[in-house]
Amino acid sequence: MGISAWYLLKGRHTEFAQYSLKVSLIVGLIAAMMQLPLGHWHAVQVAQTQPEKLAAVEGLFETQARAPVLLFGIPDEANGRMIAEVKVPGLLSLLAHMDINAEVQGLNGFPRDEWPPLALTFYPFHLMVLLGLYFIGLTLLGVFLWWRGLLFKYKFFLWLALLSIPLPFIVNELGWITAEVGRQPWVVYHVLRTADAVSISVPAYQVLLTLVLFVVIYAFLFWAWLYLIRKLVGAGPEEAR
Amino acid sequence: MVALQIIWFVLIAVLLIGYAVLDGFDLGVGVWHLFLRGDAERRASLAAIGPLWDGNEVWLLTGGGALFAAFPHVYATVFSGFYLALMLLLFALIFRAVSVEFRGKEESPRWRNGWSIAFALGSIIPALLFGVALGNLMRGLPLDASRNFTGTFLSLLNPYALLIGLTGLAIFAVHGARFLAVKLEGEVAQRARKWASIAGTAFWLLLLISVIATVRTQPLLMQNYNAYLALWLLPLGIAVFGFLSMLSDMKNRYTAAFVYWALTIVMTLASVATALFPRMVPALNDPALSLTVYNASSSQLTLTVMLVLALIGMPLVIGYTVWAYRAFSGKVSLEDAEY
Repeated sequence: MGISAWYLLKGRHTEFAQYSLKVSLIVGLIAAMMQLPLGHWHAVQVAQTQPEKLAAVEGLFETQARAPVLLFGIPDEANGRMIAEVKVPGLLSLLAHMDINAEVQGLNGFPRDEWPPLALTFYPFHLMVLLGLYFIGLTLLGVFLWWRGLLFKYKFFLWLALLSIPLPFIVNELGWITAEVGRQPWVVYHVLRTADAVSISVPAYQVLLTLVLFVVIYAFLFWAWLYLIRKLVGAGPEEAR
Repeated sequence: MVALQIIWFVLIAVLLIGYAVLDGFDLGVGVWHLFLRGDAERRASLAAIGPLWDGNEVWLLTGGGALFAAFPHVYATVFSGFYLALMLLLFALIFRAVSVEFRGKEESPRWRNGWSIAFALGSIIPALLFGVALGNLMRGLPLDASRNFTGTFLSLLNPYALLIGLTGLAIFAVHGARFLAVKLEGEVAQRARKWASIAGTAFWLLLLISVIATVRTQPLLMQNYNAYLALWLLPLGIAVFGFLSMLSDMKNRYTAAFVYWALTIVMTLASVATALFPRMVPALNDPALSLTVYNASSSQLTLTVMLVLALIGMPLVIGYTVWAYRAFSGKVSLEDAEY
């Protein structure tokens, strides 16, 4: 979508870009909508298998029936409560257990040393959901403009599509952060703590060294990749063949 | 239970030997990469391995995965003990994989030379390190009472392990040159034959020194051979197949020469596996601490379930591997612009 929009804004490969923008809009809308049931099923599974993670993700401190979904809130980890929360009562119970009165376990029901790092679970998750909704909105807006015959006229929409190119990559990473930080402190759930699973014969400085090297190497490869992608996009669909 | 443990030792040996035979030739092609003259030759050599190398590397992943599941204690000791070496291997393989794909996508000579160097180093380092790792296992590792490796990265670079590493590098270099002789046309194929003979000479010399060093310094590795004379057929096979490979090359039958060299690799590694058995990680300081097939394996249930899965999965893997090699058989031309 973004690259098609860029071609249209630049007035290059217009025929190709109009066609590819439509195709990617359809694919994008279906894919964005699919995230709703897929995310829901995944959350239902997490509610059953890792209640601490669900509580951390949803910022739920007290175990309660008619548990709410937060529209806004700032977790206060030290005091075990939410600040400035805006909530929809009962929605979390309904979503997680198909019953508005079902009880959902809160974080305060679990020992403190079994909580996942709260901020790194709560914020990435909500940012991910927010961006997921944004994708639905963006593609719906595109389809609406297409229906009204305005798709290629509104520069605003084309700019939005162009600037949104990095967002799916970021959302992907946010989801990973939520999943992997949310499973802490366990490496095998309720069996083996991450802290106890560390290799004895590998000194910490070696882990740090290789981590730094990973970052450096991947940054370099990312640069090379960006360079090639820019070249490919700049060459356009005909020359790239 | 003992039967299952032995079956899994054999299966993991098969996977890793299969890896050495398959990825061995594309690592070997990388060893010679900088000796190829001009862009067309280099592209043709990349096109020769392009559709095959990543399928070959799957055998390493499968071998490592099977080791983790079947012999978790070996996996834990070796992967933690060899941490820096394995990371070096991983970085080399990352650069190698990327350079195959990125090199041809930009015309600039600087870009192409840079990725050529990355590809060559990314091939030479693994081709050397696999032998160094094997050499260290043959020599034994210093272990504590809970089987943790107590040495350092530098202690892994001891003379014996480096000797085995160089032998491995030579065997892969021959393999790669033999492969290039099959896949390339004209003058460059003749040059590849010369490389194979130079690296072949180096391999036989290094092998001789390795065998002498092993017989003289590693009595544990000789136990099986002393107990069962028939096992000497395996090391004998190295000489027989190596000779047949040279003979086929002289008669200009390059595919036969390549296949016989593959069998030379099989025999070499099978000889090593036989020498190690039943030890998987011998302890250098106290033989009683050694990790063996019997004290390092998973439960009977795990080994049984894995065996069922392997019996289903192995034919599939062998099937698609054969299919891929048939689909991409034949010469690669120097005008091929795909890579």
